[in-house]
Amino acid sequence: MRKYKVAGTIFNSVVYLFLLLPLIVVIITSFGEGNRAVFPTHGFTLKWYSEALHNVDFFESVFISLKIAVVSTLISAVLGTMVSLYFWKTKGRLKEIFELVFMAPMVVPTVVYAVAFLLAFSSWKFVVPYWKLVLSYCAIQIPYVIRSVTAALYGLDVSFEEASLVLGARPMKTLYKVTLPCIKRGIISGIIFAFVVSFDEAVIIMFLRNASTVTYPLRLYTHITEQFSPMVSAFSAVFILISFVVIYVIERIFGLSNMYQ
Amino acid sequence: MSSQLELKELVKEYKGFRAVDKINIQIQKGDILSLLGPSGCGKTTTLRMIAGLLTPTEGDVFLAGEKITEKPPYKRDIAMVFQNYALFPHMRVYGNVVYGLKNRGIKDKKILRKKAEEVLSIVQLEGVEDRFPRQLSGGQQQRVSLARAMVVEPKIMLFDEPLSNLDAKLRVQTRIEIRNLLKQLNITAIYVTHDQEEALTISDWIAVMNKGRIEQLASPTELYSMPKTKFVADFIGHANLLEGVVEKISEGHVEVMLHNGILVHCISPAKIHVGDKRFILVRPENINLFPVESTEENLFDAVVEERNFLGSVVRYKVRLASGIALECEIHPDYAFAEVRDAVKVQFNKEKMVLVG
Repeated sequence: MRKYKVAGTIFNSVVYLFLLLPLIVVIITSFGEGNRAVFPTHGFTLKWYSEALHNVDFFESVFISLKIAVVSTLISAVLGTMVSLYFWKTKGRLKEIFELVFMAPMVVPTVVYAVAFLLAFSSWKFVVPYWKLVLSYCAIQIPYVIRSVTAALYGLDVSFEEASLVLGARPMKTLYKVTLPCIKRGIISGIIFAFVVSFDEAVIIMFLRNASTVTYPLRLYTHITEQFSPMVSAFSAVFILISFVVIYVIERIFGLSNMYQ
Repeated sequence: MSSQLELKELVKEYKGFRAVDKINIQIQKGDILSLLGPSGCGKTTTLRMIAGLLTPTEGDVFLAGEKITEKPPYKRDIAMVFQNYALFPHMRVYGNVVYGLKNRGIKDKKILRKKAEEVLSIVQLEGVEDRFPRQLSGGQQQRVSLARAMVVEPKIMLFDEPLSNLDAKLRVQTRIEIRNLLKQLNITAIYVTHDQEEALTISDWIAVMNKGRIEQLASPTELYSMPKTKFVADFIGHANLLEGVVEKISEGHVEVMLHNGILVHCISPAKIHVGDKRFILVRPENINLFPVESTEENLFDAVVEERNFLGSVVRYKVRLASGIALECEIHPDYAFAEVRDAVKVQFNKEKMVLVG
C-alpha cells in the first residue's frame, strides 16, 4: 500500500508541475535584465514592473477588456440561467433543438463563430464596435453558464419548489426565494467560467478588431509580435497573482466547505 | 353537513394509463384519512391533485365547500409535509417556519416571531430558530416541516409518507405524536402511506387503494375485521384466506363449504348468492390450537409445521389434514405444541368473514 501511495504522490506532483511550470517560467522571465523575454534569464531587475506600471496602453486595454467582460458576463448569466430553467422544465423536440443551438459554441471552433460574427455585423452597421464584441462574447459564454446552472438544477429536488408553492408563494416568488438561492453555487461558477471566456478571448477579437476596442489579449499579442520585452511577463505575473487571489477568495466564500448540502 | 374535503369522480390519466380512476372521498373537519396502498396504486397522485401540484383529467376537488379543481397550489389554503421534508436549505429554521405566514401577508416581525415560537414549542423544538436545517437530525427536521405546515392553519394538511425516512423506533413514536397533535388542534388531514400499521394507528378513516381505485374506505377497525375484498384482507394484517363455495344463506351469516369438504359458518358483509365461489378470511389470532385428544366440537386435525416465538405471541404455521396451510397466533402460555406435533384446530366462528 505504501508503495502505491508514494507512486501516487510522485505522479500528482509531476502533473501539478506540468500545469504550473509555464506560469513559473513567465514569472521568472519578468525579472530578467535582457530586453527580450527569454528563458533562462540572466540578472535580476524590477524595472519591467515599473515600466508595466507606466504603460498607459496596457492599462487602457485591461480596462476595455473588463468593460466588455463585465457586461457580457452579466447578460450571459441572466440569459443562461433563464435558458437553463427552461430546459429544466421542458421536454420534447423543441428543447432538443434549442439545446443544440445554445450549446454549439462549446464544440464548434471559435474561428467559425468569429467569421459568422464578422459577416453578420458587416450587414448590421448600426452596432458600435463595443457592443459587437459584447454580443459576440455573450453567444460563446452562454453555454458555460448553461452547463454549470443545469448541473445545479439537476441536483435540485423539485420538492423545494413544490413546498414553496403549497405554502402560498407564487411561481415568481418561488423562483427568487427558493429556486435561485438553491442553485446559487451553479450560477456563480457559471459566471466565473463566462468571465474568463470573455476576458481571455483572442480569436473573435482578431476578426472584429477596431482601434477603439483593443482588448488586453489583443494588446498582448501585438506587443509580443513587435517587441516581446519582459514587461509582458511582468504584466502577466501580476495577472497570475490576481487570479490566484480571486480563486482563493471565491473558494473561501462559496467554497465546498461553506455551501449548503 | 358539508364536508371539509370532497373528491368527486377524480381521474388522472397519463397517455392512456389511468393512475387514478374515479375516486370519491368525503371527509369531515378534524378527521384524518389515510390513503393506503402498494407503490403505484395512485395514492400519491391523488394527494398531489388535492395539493394542486397535478391537474385532474376528470372530476373535481372541493375544499370546505369551494371548488378548487382549477386553482393553483398557492391559492389553495393547504399545507403539505413532504417525504424528504423539503426544508429550504438556504433558510434558517425561523425562515422556513414563517415562509407560509409571509406569503399570507403577515409582515409584522413581532407576530411572526411569536407564531414561530408558539408552533415550535408545540412540536417540542424550542430554541432552534437560528439553526439551518442541515444542522438538525432527521427527526428534528421532520418536526420543523410539521411546524412549517401547521403554522399557517391550513384548511387541510397533506402528508406524503412523512415518516419513511426515519428509523423504525422514531417512526412509531412520531406517528402517535402526529395523531395527537392533529386531534388536539382539530386539523383535517390526508395521510399517504404504504405502511398499514402506520395507517391503522394514525387515521380515523382509511382508503385502501389498488390500481388507481379505492378498494374500501372504512374505519381502521372495520377494515381489519370486515374487509370487503380479498386485496384489503391480504393487505391489512396477516390473513388466512380459504377458498369455498356458498352453501346456504341465512340472516346475518352464511354456510360455506371449503374445497376440502369442511363446512364452516361465517359472517358476510358482501352481497352473495348460493353457489358463489368466495374467500373466507380468518385472522391468525382467531384460530385456536387444542391437544390432539380434545373432544370439543368443530375441531379439525392438523400438524404443526413452524413455530416462531415473537415475544407477545407465538406464530404457528399448521397444515390441515386436507392440505390447507394456516397461520395462527397463540398466547405463549398456551403455545404447547412443537414442530411436527399433531394438534386440533378450531376457528373462532364469530370472526370468520366472507370476502371478495
